[in-house]
Amino acid sequence: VRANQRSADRERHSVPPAAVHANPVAEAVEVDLDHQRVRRCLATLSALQRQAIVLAYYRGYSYSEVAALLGVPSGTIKTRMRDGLIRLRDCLGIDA
Amino acid sequence: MRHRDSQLHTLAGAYILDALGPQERAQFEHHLAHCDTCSQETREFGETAARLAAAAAQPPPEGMKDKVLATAAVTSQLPPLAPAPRRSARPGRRHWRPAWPDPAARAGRPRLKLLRWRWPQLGGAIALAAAIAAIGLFAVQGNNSANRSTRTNTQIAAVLTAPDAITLTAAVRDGGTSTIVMSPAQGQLVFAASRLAPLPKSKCYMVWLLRPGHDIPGSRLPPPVDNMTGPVVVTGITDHDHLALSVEPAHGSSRPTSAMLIDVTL
Repeated sequence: VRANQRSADRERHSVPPAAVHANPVAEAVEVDLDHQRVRRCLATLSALQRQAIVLAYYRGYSYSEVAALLGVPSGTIKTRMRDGLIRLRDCLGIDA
Repeated sequence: MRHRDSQLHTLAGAYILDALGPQERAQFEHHLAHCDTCSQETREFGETAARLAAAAAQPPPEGMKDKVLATAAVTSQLPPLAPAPRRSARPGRRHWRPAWPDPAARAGRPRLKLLRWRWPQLGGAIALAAAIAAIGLFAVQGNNSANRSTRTNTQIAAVLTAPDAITLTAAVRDGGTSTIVMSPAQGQLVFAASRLAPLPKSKCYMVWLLRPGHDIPGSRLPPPVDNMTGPVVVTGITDHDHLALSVEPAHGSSRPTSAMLIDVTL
């Protein structure tokens, strides 16, 4: 199912530029839907998983900084980062 | 820090988020070359993180595309000055690299001699803050520290996610590292330290906000848990204040009585 979804995604993304340009509204809606999906998936994470991923990814903190700033052992942060990405990956239907 | 192979597996997440130090990153990359499971997981995580990036991207301002295309149409191309440098690639060995915050940039931040500073890439931080707010990063309070009040948690979250947040890292003179995240707009900062030199029961660490001509009471830091001290919130900061750390008697002091272990100008 994921593979089908992904090939469908690819087809959607491989529309010739002229067609995309011709329909900027549809493009914007699609982008917006993707953002909503990512946010929905982020919302399924535990608070600690989300904090660890967001602080490292969006704010550039190292895992030891995240650990110190949240007052959590660094081993826990490493695990939460991986657990969180596993959950996000599954929620987003990614298989490489 | 040496890791057994089983522990190295758990670094895949931190690796993709570019949250590893240089040594652990090298260890993990070495491990990656021999571990099919890790390579697979790393690829999937990479794709996952790319989606996170897309979600934070902001739509460009109205009319920007037309302006760029119009300018491009009337701008002639520059001739190449010299042959392009060859990209270094090691054949036969896959070196996977995250395509976002350049890991080299982390290592190449400016450093002072005694106090070492790290300014993380804050590019686009303001635009991202909106995305983070939408994501609701701290919407649910984690029970990561049973003895920390919800109010402190909220304050810490507010500073860490502030659009103007600045991070400073300073080496502590007697050992350890301190991290300061400060929001000038909110007038507060979060202080945390790791691997501070252990103290006898009769002593404690105190953090001070120093302002010429003013005595501002310091805060006693709680004893370390798992080698980490804090986080504590310091409020009421203004330009040119200094943040300092000293060792004081366990019952605390009204002003610093020993040499400063860090002295950071805010």
